Amino acid sequence: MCMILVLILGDLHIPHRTADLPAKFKALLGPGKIQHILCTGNLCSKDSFDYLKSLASDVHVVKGDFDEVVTVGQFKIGLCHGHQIVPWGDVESLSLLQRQLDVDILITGHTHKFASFEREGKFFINPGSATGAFTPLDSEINPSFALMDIQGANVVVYVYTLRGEEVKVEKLDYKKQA
Amino acid sequence: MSDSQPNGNGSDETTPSPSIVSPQPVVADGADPLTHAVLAVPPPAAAAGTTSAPASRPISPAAPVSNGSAPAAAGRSRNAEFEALLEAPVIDIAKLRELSVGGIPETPGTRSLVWKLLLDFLPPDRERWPAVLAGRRALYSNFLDEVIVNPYAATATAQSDHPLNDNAESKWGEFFKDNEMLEQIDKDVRRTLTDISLFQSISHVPRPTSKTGTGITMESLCARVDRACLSTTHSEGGVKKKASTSYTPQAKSKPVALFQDDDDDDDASLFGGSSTSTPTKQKAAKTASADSAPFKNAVLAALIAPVDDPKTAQALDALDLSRSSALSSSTSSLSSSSTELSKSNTESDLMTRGAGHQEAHWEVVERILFVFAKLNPGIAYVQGMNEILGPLYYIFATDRSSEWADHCEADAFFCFTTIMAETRDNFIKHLDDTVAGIGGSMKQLMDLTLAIDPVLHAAMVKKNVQPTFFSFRWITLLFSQEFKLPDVFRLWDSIFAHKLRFGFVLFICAAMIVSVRSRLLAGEFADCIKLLQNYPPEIDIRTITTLAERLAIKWPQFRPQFI
Repeated sequence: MCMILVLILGDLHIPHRTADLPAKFKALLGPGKIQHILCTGNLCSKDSFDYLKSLASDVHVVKGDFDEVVTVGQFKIGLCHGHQIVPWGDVESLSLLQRQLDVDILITGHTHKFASFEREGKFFINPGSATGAFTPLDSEINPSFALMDIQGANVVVYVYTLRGEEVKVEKLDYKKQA
Repeated sequence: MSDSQPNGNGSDETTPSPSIVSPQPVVADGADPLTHAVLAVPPPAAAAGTTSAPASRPISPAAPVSNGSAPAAAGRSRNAEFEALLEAPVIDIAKLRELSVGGIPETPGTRSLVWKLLLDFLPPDRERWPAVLAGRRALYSNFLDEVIVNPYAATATAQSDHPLNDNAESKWGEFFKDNEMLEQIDKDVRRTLTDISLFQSISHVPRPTSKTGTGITMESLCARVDRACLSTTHSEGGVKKKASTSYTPQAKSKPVALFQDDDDDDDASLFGGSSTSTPTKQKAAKTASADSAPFKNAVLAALIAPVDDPKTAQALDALDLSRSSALSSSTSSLSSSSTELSKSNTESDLMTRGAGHQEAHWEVVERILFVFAKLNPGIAYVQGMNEILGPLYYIFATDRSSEWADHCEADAFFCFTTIMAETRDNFIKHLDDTVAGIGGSMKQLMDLTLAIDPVLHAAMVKKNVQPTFFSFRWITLLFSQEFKLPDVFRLWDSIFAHKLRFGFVLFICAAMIVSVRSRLLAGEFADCIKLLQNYPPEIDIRTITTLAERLAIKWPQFRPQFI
């Protein structure tokens, strides 16, 4: 089975709202492991982009109002920043975009809050903010990002969340429906 | 793991058959001016006078003494001798070695068979062949399962493990470590014997399937280290859905590579409709490089039969998300994009990614090296192993009889293991400066040169022509870089068959140095290095083996200690 690792992150807001990625995250992320990076945007500097480039050679970042669709193995993955989807983070609205893009997995950001659910056989991920940057929506923000391990028709999503000083790893499974 | 592998039946080399007594006719020292000049060690004063003699001597046609260079009639009888020997129910290995030292006949399949016998892959007893072959090939397929398919299967189940885990026990850690090694193998394998078309062409043996799984085709190893870029489609705002089909440059150059992702998993049912196009895609990818006629015909037939539908599906697949817009666009643009696709199905794509059930020969070589490295963590993979496996694999894969060629992967693996078992010390880094390692071998070579020809040795030392500059490659790669491939085969015949086995390598090195004596004495440092690193092709390989044989007899103290 071919394993493909895809890093999903976004809403870094460096340097406007925060200085850098949490040191614990930086220690975890190293070159040579991840094949592709899908970023939901708001990096916001070239430095951040260069950092991502140092982790994987293939980095995709959504640009402004554009959605991006990539194919990884058997999966079509849609990437969208998320502020366009109103109400923000709404299940119905996200589902609408998923149908429009005709994707198996839809990745959105903007809310700075990790979220993931399966709906009508499709998978939705919001990686939250990798830096835990400020957002007017929420006062309690934990830095988080996600890593997808794609093997054939299966996806295992590892969710990395920084709670206090500890990185918590959660695992989610999604199987593509025939 | 090592106990389950054949490791070269140590007894074979340590107890040379008494029947082998100098297979090459040894000419008395005085009878040959070359021997005289070189072996009799001319006094320093005379050295200058004799310099031209040894240099011109090897080139002269009269030089070969070995039976390999006998006239055609003798050659035929030699072939007959080989044939008779190989057809016997129990093959006389001692006799076979004796004959093979002088070269194995070029008749189809002979070398492939004899190498297997000489490298202890096949037992002398013909009756045992089917059992031994079946056993070893099954063993190899178990290795494949163990090394490539299974080790990471646990990753999905282990709850605490995750990809970024830097724990020593982490399966993911092992996976990334393997990938690092694989990346090195991948780089080297792609440039193994690139001038031989075989390695870039498609192997007619399908990619092996996993035994434990439900017939899942084994993943292509190179895919694991492939740095592919994903092709993307942008659509504005999502709502308007005016999908622009602007591909990024990378995406345009290799769209096929991405689709082959899908094929790796062999789960066609998951594809639904698009699965119909998959075989066509794969076959189209092969047209350019498939060199065997029957295969080409099959491909053509496959291409002609399903005309429109798969192509349309293929084009749609390629356009991917922009499917809706592609549908609305005119058919002419569809067909043009499909031709563009089939055009891009060239050999370069085969280099980037193995497709489906078919794979290129270099991918097979990559797999053999990876399995060897995983099973022998002490040596793992060292650059240069590909150059040893390359010629071996070439001989086995080009065997005329498909009975042998179909199993060249497993056979080459075991024969390669035998060679490595006997020469591995040269590849182990921490042995480099010891007697056993490559450093010791090179020192031995200089000592031997000193014994043979003190004048030449002194000149080399004076010019600072160190053995590391040239003989490192000679010894570790068994001369595979020094001579043309047919000559390498011929040289390996002698090495594999020789009673000193790889101990003979040292004498070949010495013979090579001595054969260019006058040029080494005359040239400056740069000339000497250039000469030894690009060994002059005009020096006949038989001259070298014959001389090496004489040196081995004359200087027995330089034979490996265990002989």
